[in-house]
Amino acid sequence: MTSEEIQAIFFTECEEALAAVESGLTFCASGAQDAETINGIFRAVHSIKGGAGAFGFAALQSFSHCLEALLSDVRDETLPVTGPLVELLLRSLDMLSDHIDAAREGSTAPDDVAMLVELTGAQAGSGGAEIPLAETLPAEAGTPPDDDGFDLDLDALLDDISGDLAPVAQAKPQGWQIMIRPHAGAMRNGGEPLLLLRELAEAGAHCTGCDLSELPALEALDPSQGYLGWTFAVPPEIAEAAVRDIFDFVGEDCGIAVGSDAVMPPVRIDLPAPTALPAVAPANANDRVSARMVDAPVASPVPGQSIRIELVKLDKLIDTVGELIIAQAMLAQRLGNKGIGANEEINVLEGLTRSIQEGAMAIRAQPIGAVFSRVPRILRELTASTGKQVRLEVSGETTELDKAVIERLGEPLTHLIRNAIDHGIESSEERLAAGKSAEGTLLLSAEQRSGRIVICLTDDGRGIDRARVFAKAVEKGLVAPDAQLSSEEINRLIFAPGFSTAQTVSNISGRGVGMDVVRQNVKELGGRITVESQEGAGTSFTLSLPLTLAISDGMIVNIGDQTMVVPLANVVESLRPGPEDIQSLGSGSQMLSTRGKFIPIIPVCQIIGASSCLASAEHGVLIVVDTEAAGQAALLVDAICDQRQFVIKSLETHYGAVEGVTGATILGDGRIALILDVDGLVAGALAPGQLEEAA
Amino acid sequence: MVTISLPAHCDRAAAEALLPEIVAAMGCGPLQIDASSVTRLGQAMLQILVSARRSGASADIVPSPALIEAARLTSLYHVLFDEEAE
Repeated sequence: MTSEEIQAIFFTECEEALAAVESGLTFCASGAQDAETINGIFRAVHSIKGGAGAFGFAALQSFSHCLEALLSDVRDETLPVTGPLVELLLRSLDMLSDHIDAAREGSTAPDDVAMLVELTGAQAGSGGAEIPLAETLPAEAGTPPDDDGFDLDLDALLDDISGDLAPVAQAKPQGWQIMIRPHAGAMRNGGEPLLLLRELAEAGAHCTGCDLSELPALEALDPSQGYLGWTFAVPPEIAEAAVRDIFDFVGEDCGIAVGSDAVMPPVRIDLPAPTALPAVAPANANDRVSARMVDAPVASPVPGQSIRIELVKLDKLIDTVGELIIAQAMLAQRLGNKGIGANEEINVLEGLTRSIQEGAMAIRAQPIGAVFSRVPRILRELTASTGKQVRLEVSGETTELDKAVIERLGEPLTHLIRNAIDHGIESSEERLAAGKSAEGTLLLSAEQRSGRIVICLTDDGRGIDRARVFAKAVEKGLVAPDAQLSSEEINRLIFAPGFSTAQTVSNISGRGVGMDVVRQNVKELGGRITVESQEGAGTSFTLSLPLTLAISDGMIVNIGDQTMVVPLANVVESLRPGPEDIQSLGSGSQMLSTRGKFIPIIPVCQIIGASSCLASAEHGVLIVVDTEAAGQAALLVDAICDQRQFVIKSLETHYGAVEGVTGATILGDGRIALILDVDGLVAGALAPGQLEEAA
Repeated sequence: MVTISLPAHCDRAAAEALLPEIVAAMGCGPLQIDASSVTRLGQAMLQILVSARRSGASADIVPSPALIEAARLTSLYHVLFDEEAE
């Protein structure tokens, strides 16, 4: 495993630790608290500090150390948990997150001087004993972190221990003694026992000897195992708990014995777990897997065991599952052609294929909480800059969806939240004047609904001012001044490119690139966004997203000489129209009259340029689809052949982007079918003002 | 004399990669381990250096400030450098 890979693991763990701290602090902020929550927060910050030290991120290490010192007092109950303290901790969490980002991107560390002063001030006010580690950092706490901090550390350390050139001879053990024997586990995943020893030395202890008795000859040595053991003399003023804290990071992977009559813990040869084999023998660089047993109480708040897998391998598995689904469809089709399609074995195979697919998807699935956990921070920043009071309520954060979707969801969601606070929720005075509570409420929820994830963001603000939206749209030339638009259609105008009603461009939202980008982002994820709003009562945005980007359900349709796929997500209903259902317009276009509404008919065959098109809509089948841009439309196809799962293959990767088509799939008979981009197709066919849905 | 140079970052991966080379070189006569560019060193490499020092042929180690610091920290200074440095 290269150091880059280990570093990537560290940053992933940082994200997990930040989420744990955030949820712990949020729990504390609600007024409830318990020792385990505080411990959890402390452990998370401690592991960030440990990793930061291992990778030489001096600024991050120094900041997390200061935060940890304060948390230590909270844990020891020398500092009471008060509202202002939790608020300070939340702000320092944001700073910690910035430090981690800076370390990850290699950019300049944030200016944390003011925050460090606040943290040390809060700690000084505790009256409790500072943990000894903090004694080594007063200079760092008061001055900006030095870019060259790693070297600084070394220099300081050299000064510290310069008197110990002949440690065994000079050591006059006072206080107490600790014996340390790191095992193999302490050296895995970026762990480095020497850094812990260094931390111990920085705390004031010094090494009095190294046990070499178990070190084998070079030929018999396995560098991944720990053979050395150290004895450290610790001054009496340092508490045993403070020293044990240093080794919390490695847990049972480090043998520790304390006391003057203690014996050195024995060497423990760890056999590598089967999945960790390639990491121990990295000869085959292309086949490295890192596996890690997560020790629930120490390393992570997540219970149970987990294993880290390279994403590439997962993607390959998903690809293979896609191929399996295609192969299974081919087999079913071939057997069907011979008249033996409906047999028990093929049903069993289909069931197994589906469960393998679901299993593979489940591996990639992650709780949406990963995205939701960023929201409180955004909210804190926004409420601070706008002066508005907003309460956040989150539900369904354990809802799981595909990692790729999660990763790309952050941006649109952030924008929606900024928009809701900037434009939606009013100032406290306005709210009170309108008879509402001074504090606005933002509800964020996620749930799984019929194979899709539905995310709702609802505010109880002023709602969309439709008159202003309409006026703005007219001014921008998006709609004709005399256009008769329904409330929903006016709401949808906010998604139009370049549309922005903000009176002044704020630094929060209103840059005119907002909602259309959000819609585009959501669309790229195969999702849809809808908006409902009641003037004076609030606005609700609903994002409907696929569980995965790789496999979806769709209708296989014949259009002229082509076979195509219509994603089921867009389909409202399908019907075979009678002559009375079709109304012709002068322009040669036709409307479907159904349930008192007229819906424009889109002759897909002509649009895609297929041959042998149907002469009239009465001879074909109409699929009523829902689109964001143009409401409902009826796609005219020759026939619906099947409705089943299909594997999405990117056209852009293998060929190039094609208008009206989102991708391709392979059918059971081996032919390739294009997947229709229903939104694009309908929007393109219905040029603005040509055919409006009429009530 | 065969010389093996150590990389700047002597983590566990570097130790695992270099061990076979060091073992092979030790079998061919006197060995010099050039650690002069080492800026970071882990326990895995430290064990190899100590074991190499204690083996029959005994390797000479050209240190760097970081290696000296690690040796002092771990009370291994005399084991690693007693001929050259003290």
